[in-house]
Amino acid sequence: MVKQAGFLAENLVGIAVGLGIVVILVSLWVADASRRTQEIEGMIERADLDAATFYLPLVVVPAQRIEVVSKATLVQAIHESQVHPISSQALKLMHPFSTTYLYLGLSKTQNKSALWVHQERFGNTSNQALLDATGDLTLEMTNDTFCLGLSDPQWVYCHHRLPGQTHEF
Amino acid sequence: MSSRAGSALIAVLIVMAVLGFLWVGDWVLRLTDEMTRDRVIQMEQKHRSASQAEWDALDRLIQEADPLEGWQPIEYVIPDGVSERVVSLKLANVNGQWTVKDRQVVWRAKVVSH
Repeated sequence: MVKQAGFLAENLVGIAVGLGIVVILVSLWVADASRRTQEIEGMIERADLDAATFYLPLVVVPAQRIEVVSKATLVQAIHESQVHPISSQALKLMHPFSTTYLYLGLSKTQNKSALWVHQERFGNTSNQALLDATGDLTLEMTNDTFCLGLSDPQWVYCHHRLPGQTHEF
Repeated sequence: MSSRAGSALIAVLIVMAVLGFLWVGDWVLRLTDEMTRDRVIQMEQKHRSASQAEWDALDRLIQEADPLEGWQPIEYVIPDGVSERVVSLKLANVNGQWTVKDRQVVWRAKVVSH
């Protein structure tokens, strides 16, 4: 009887230790999973910004004229677009055969606003969302540089004027 | 070894395996992130170097240009990382000051051999 009680106690202790280990492992896993989710979200956001860093030189380097325009001018230029501009300013890039506008906008199918690229080439227009951006768009321009800044996500892209380019602001 | 010590050892091994698995996963995530960041920084530096090289090429071509001639077409090729940037411009000396216009850029793939 005493021996059986001893076995029972030993089994109960074993189960308690096992359960304790499982609880510790699960809590470790939960903490790690939530941290990892946050990190992956940050990485996805950074991947969007990296893609934008790769993309912007493709439209900025060939530009002949780089200009900061008002929302009214932008609306007039893209009036047929399904994207509603929400930034007070936009960046206008004039190429030999096309014009590109960069601005913060919101389309009917979007929940979050985004940095939009509107391109007009030989009368054909295209609209592409470059990355999600919910904050403000700031455009700072001097004779030699311009910087495009986003507040959320925090990001600044700067370009130094190249031969043959003019800055209008 | 008693059965109790064996159970304790297995428990410790399980905990270590889980922690090791989490640590390796975390390390791979950070390593990938660091590699991507380095690549973007390198691309930004190459882009900046290409911009400087464009101004250097323009300065060199201005030295060679004839100030009495009208609009002269010029062209220079700048490597900017993975491709070559072929820039064509028109250059003229207007009232004693060099002026450029009609900038056109195309990217030409750089052929590499391994």
